Amino acid sequence: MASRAPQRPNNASPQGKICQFKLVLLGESAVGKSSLVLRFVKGQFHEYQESTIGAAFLTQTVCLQDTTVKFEIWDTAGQERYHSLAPMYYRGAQAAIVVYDITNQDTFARAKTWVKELQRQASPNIVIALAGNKSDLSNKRMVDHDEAAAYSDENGLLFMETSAKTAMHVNDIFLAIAEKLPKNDAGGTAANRPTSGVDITQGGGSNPQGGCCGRSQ
Amino acid sequence: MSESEDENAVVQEDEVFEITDFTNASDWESFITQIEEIITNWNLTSYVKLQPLQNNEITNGDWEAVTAHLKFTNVPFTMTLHRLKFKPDTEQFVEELNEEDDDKIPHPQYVEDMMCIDNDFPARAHCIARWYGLRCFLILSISSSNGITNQSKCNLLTSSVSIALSNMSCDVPFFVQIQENWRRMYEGKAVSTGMSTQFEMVHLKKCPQQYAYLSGLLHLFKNKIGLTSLLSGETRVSARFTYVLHDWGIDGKWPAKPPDPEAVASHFGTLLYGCLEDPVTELQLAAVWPSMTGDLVIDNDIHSDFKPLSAPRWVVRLCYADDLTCLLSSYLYEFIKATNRTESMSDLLNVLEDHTTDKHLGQALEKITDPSAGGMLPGVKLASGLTKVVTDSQTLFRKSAYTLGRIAAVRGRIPREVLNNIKSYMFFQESTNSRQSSSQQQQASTYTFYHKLKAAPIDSLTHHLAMCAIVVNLCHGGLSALAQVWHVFVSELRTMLDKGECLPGIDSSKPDLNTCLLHQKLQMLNCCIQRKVLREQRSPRSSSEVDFKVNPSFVDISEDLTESNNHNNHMATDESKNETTPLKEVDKYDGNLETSENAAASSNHSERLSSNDSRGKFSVQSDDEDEFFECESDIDLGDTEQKHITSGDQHQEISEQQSLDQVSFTVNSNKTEDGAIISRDDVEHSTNENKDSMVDIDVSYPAEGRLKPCDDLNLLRCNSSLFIPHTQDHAPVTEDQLEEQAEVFSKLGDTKEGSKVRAKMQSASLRSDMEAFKSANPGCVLEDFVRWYSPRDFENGELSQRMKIPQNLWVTTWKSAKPVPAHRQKRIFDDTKEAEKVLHFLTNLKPAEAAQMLIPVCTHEALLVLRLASDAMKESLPSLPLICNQIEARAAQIFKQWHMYGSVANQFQPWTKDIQSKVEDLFRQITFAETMIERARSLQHKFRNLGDTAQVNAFVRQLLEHPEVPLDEAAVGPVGCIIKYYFQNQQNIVVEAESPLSSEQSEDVRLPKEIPPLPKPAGREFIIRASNSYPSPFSRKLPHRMYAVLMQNEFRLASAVSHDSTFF
Repeated sequence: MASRAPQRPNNASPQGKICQFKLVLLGESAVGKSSLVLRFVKGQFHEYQESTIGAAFLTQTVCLQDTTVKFEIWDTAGQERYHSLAPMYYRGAQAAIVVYDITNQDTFARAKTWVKELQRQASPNIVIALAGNKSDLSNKRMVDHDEAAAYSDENGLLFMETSAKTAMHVNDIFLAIAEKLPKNDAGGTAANRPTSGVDITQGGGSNPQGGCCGRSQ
Repeated sequence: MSESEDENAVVQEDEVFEITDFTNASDWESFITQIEEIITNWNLTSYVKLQPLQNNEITNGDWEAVTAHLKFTNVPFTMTLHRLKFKPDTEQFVEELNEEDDDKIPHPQYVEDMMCIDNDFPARAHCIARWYGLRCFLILSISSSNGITNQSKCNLLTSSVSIALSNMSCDVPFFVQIQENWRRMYEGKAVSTGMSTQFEMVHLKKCPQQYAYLSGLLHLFKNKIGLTSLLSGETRVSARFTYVLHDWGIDGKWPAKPPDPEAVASHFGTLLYGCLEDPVTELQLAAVWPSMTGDLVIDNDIHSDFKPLSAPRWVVRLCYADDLTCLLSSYLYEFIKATNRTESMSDLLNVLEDHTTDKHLGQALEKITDPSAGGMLPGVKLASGLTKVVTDSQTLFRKSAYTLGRIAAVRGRIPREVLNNIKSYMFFQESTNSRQSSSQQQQASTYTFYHKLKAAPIDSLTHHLAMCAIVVNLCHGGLSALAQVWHVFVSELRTMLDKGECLPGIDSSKPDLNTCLLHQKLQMLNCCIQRKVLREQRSPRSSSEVDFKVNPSFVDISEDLTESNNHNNHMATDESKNETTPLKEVDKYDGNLETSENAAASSNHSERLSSNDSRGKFSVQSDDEDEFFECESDIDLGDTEQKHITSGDQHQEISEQQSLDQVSFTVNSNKTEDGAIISRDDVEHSTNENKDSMVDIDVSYPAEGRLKPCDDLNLLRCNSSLFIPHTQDHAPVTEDQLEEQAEVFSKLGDTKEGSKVRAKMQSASLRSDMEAFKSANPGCVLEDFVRWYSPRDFENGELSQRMKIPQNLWVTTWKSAKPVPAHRQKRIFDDTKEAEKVLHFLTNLKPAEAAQMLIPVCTHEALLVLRLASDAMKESLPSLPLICNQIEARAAQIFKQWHMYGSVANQFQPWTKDIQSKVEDLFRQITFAETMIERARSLQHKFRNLGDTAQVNAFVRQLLEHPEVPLDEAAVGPVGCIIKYYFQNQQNIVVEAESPLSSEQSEDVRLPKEIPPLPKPAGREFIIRASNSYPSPFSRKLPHRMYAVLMQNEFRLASAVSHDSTFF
């Protein structure tokens, strides 16, 4: 279940379309947003990931059958103080991952308010995914999987429980988003600015550590 | 040989067999072989019998055309098969067996079709189908444009065709196009079992006198097919006479009242739509007499039985103007032309300056001579001003942009009063139009239509500017007028910034990234102005007091300012109109900041907003308190901070102020954390830096800059409550800045170092908050800060593990943070600088670039107009709302893709050719929709007397959807009566024009008897059919047909005569 076909990494055949999408991570502080991104982009995990200040920016490319999807990821700080900055990041975004911590009910409540805000303020066809992170700590679980899944169904969200630590479902959630994104219009086509400095040729699934390939436990 | 093979290769994709006949010797033979092979490929080699044609099937069915290329020697030819597509649902092939009633050989399909009377005069068909009633035929034509004029070549081709048809047993009529192409002359041949048919044509410019009527034509036809008997009733005649109405008269013309150019030129609220000339140029009325017995009809130069008013069928057809000039489209096209110009602002304005010297005199004279110039009504003024520009109101709109551009060059400057009116329209928000509420309220989401298009809200300053720009560009002289408006606009922005007036029609929120870049820039400017105002409202009293002590020369300013304060109190009810005296003089002592507005930077903290009138009267008295409070030496220990904070929406009173409750003054801040901005000067900051010895726990300074207590928390290390400090607001950003930031951040890469630098770059806000926190909470430690700032990082009485990572940015920043209240910190968001950036950006735009930036806003407006118009017309044009949906979706797609900036903020990037062509294409679609609407409106107007609206709409819909519409009850039906009325009017005009002498005295006598209800027919068509034995009286009886059309400049006969090839 955890392992889908591993993404074909960045040696993608260039004849396919390249779509660039802006993706934003939102959620309470210390739920693991930065860890998810780090896992997805670099296949790494730090037990203690420094608290994000402002917002971090990373890119990663995934390949679907005929398209290459380049994610520009804005990893925002979760502190309430930075809430007012969030619109700046999600307004132009085509996708959002709202993250909560399955060991903390409050973070789930906060995630719901983020979803509500996105539905109200963000562009109407934004693809929203809900990630219940820290699924490796299921012994401390406070948020019921089915409850979150039901909530996601009601609101048309993609939903997965993830673990940045074990890499479970990390790639899957990004891939699921990539697949759901419309490839025909706006967001897509060649990037409007030159490829960023991130060396995309060594990210993601090609990583020998394999942490990023959705091959978990 | 090889030649023909080459051809085959082109023609046949999936070649199954190929006959390479080496006996083919001549070019001619190989040509015939090519034809035969094409016929084989198209499966035309067997005699097929289909269902009889249904009524009007030739018009309504789907036609297909297949083409192949071939060569005679080296001359290229084209062979085309035109065929009515089979309807898949109906049974196609008729059993041939059951036709054996007599010994009769059944007629081939093409003969049946020719004789079928249900498809006479199809409304829309290939000319061959119209002339001969065929549903399947082949055409051979020369590919070069000249046509075949040499008779022997024509004969050669016809022969080739005959041979091929016979060889292949193909009974599809085969035509060869001869003579010049424009003459549409065809000669044809069809071959079937025991018979063949010859298709021949006569084409003349003038109609020979003897054939001008049916009688002559009948005679001709009968002779041709050898029908001598006078009384045979075997000829059938169908006729169709066409009458043209091109003058709809006063009652029918559209637009009923053409738009007044002056009104258009001064109408800025919305875009107008509508055509300037009638989109329906003419109506063709056809009176039709279906199949009658030819010998019983009399039609000659003396008498005609063809009386259109009593014809059994009336059919109407409309002709539309090709290139209709419509207002909405004109706005857009002219505007897009402006976007391609390259002149800079100074190019355009300098030219104007040159003209102004002699202009002044002219204007002065105009003032004297123009009686309305001094009028009190602005509307009148505006109109009279416009007449100077819009002299020739008749031709204005019909002129191309070129001409409009010329007008601009000649006219130069927009008259001052007009410019003033434009300015006041832009900058004074009038009551808004109702469209927004009606069209957009149903969308509950705050993501509205203008967000989709990345435009700007209706009636925002941006929208008003766009409206003025697009109108001025069309009506006041193109790009130069645009430049003037842009100049006025940017200058006014500068003035408002200097005066500290907020921009009208720009909401006070941060830039909305789903709007166009220009709107974001204006929002940004507005944010800057707001902060400037806030700062200055705080600064005057304090700074003047301080300055007073330091430098007596500033006394006058302080008086000024007090005055302005009092002024504020009077008009305090209206925040937006608040006037603040610019602090021009104050800034002199502030050398270290770039621009004048920075004066306030030296100010102290004094929170007061003039917004609340009930508080206004206390402001003077409160100054003293504030002054004391803001003194550098203020010793303001914890609880003594006396404030009544009204923050944003939530009013939170803080109770700890009782000790000073004699101070009735309340601080009213409409932004929670606005405290921000102000900073005591940098000097003070640097003195603080000397106290490096200050470590985590330092209770030696007084608390300052508290907002409110944080729940019930107490500081960990000392026994006082934990206070939330006033903090600096986050900086507003526009899209291009965000892009630049993203670019910078992404360039840093995802290395550890890169991430560090990135975090550092963003830590300014964290540091500011920490300093403010320290200032508000003497004796605090990082744990205290984290409990407020990031509560989830404080677990079980200690910092979370990640906060304990050595040298993490939180720890290091905390260590280096000094206790400085927000109002004394350096501004994180330098509104002065940002405002200058915005103005610089706008000032440097070329007029064409400014126009580009406005295109989404203009398009948004145009689409709203179009949508309203289409909703109003949907009864007549049910497909239009769908077209509108498509256009809107397309527009959203284009404008989302279009970035007007590069990777550097505040640098405009002109659009690419790609975007431009997409926008142009979009405008073409809008034009198409507008044209459709205008056609429908014109027709609705013309047939408004038909009945109730539903009936009118239904009839208009028919007219628009079908090439021809038959009228119920012909001449006596409701539509017939209206059409007769229009014809009568046209006749009256013609007759009056023809006989100007008979003006008055004889009018009553002449009118009733001399004016025929309809004009002479513009065209007459006949189809004559007969059966007769041909070529000899002993031959089989075969059907023949002749079509004739007689027009003023064309006479054409198309005959199909069949031969019995078995028996003579």
